[in-house]
Amino acid sequence: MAMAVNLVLMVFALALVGYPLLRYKEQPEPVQAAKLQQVADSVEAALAEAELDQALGKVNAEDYRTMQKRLGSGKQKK
Amino acid sequence: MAEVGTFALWITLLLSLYAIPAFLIGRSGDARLVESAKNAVLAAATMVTVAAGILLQRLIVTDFSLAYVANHTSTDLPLAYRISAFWAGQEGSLLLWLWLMAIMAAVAVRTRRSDVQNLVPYVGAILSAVMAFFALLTTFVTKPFVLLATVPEQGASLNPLLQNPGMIIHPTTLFIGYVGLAVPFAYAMATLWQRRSDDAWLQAARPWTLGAWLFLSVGIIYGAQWAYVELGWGGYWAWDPVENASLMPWLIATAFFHSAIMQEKRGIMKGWCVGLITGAFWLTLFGTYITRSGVLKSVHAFSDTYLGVYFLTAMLLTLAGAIYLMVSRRKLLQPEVQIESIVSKEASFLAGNLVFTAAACAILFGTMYPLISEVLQGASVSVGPPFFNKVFVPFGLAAVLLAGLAPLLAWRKSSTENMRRHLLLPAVGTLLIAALLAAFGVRNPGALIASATAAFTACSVIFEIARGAGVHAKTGGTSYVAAFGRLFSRNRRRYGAYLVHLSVVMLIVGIVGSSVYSVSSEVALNRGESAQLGEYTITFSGLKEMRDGDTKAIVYTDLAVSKNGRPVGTVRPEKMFTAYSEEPTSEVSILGSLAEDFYVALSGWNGPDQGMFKLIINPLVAWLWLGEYLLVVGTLVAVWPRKRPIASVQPQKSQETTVASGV
Repeated sequence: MAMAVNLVLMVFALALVGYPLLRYKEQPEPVQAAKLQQVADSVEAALAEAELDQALGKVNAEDYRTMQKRLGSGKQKK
Repeated sequence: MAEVGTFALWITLLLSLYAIPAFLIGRSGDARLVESAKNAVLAAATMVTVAAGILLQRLIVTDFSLAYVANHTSTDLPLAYRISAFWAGQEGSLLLWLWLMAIMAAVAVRTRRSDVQNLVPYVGAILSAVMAFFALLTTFVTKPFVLLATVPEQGASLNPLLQNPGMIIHPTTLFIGYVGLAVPFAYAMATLWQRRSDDAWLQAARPWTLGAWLFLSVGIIYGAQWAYVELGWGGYWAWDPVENASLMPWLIATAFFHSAIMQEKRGIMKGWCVGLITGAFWLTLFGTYITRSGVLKSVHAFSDTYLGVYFLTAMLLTLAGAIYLMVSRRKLLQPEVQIESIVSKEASFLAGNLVFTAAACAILFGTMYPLISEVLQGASVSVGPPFFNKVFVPFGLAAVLLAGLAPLLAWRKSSTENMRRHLLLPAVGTLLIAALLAAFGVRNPGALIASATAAFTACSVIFEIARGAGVHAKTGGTSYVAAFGRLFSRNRRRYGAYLVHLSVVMLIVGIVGSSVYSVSSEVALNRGESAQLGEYTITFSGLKEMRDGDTKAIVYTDLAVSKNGRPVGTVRPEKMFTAYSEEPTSEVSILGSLAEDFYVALSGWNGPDQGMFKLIINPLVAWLWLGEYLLVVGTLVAVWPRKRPIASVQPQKSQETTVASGV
């Protein structure tokens, strides 16, 4: 019984590891909304904070623009 | 099934060892190999799940043919503790570590973030290496599936001290916190390895860091709660080496995600970020090392010396690798701008980093002092709570003060006008609260300073939230209540963090109240006699004994409690004897409220008619446990993903428009 289970585990592991080596074809990566969403979300959260800081008088307009540029360039890069 | 468990661990080790080179070779363009390595990590996670499932099932059915089951369970052990026995011993706890690591690695390498896809092979290789280390330990050293030649009829059961609901949650949450820190560490190293200087890794690692920090926080506070109700000495923190081992990575992780804000917003503290997350992860290994190496005595220690050398090697390799990457890529860690003024948000965050790091270093020094003194003086000398309190309290207060000050300061430089505008209300609020406290009899200078510091942070955070809501109400033309909701939903990270700052204030209130104003007494009472402590009076009506099966006996008493002459209830302190342990364990009884706990422990007796009791009034201790809930809520608010269609993400052009309109 134990040997049979061990065999199943081994075949499962080998199949999982071996499948991409034998069958995997690299697909051109589609621009998926979900992937971009994660990146955009973290940038947007930081931008919202920067915006609030400006409204609260904790960052001047020039620094705010620099901050936006920094965060925004991060977003564009993705 | 034990053979299957052992075999599954073997395959886990082989898969982890395969994944490391597969990730590293595949990173230069062979997507098939990277995909295969990712699958290897997934397969490894499946294998450890099988092994863990087998051990769990054997524990539940009390299969004493397994040495681990025989050593940690018994047939009369309740189901919940048969499950928690999984992490009660060396073998099981390391298997739990490996299990959590494998699951987290399998999730981490499947990240869908597009900006860190080329970091994934490096992250996968590092996490696979950590996994391989723990798989090596469980396969060759601790071996959780060792079979006994002679199967005993009954097991040795679980240590009675560990038979507490807190012990089901405390170790698992701490372990999740420890293991979770491996992922941001791997991201940091991967970024340096790939010679990237951007901060995409910080954003990708953020949920992992905050999640790990949250579990670490909950684990630490649950541990304190367990000590409070189970150990019977009336306190919740004893500066035990293993307690310290969990506090140190917590402090460093706290400094890390504050630094991450600076790197993200201003492009500074890059070196701090990498150094701190390395320190936090390294300290989790260190914590495991001192728990399992036997180098330091602790109530938590497993006291096996043979594991020490493995952990020491892993710690040295981790440190050497991280230092090499940091030194060789030091140019990537240069700040993009300099801190211009000491009165700025940036400077306050830097001060926070210094405070957290210094506090962690002081605790590390105190924890390791027995070893240091042994090497230098030839005799092991321990430093006790007075040393830690003296060293930690100033750092703790400085950190709380900064938690109140930093939100008020402007980026780059705070003008005098800016300072006056933002500091005035919190300062007035603090003075009022301090005056009220003094008027109500808080005269202890230490308590007054700590309370005023906490009050300042509370006022600062509350006024900041009010100001933010005011801005939203004004610009959005909405009601104040709606603006409050909008403020939290649009700025979850910041206002979640502010809730966490408030929770720290609650923790400080609890710590100050219970440490400065705690009163206690030891009394011996004959049947019918009463004793008084503060406003409380207890009346003793004799001891009783209760048997629970053949293996457990409980000696207890029901004490009538009155406060200022008015009955307020009964307490039942107990001593529990089991056939599995020579020492009885205390079950304290607490009559608690938000204002104070009346804590009673049965410390001894002389026949059924005379009992000895430890009575303690612990003011405000409930604030500690309530602070924990707020901390969880705040962290969840901060880490909760934003639900918003991608279409609503503002393009760069419209952001510029917003700036121009001065919103």
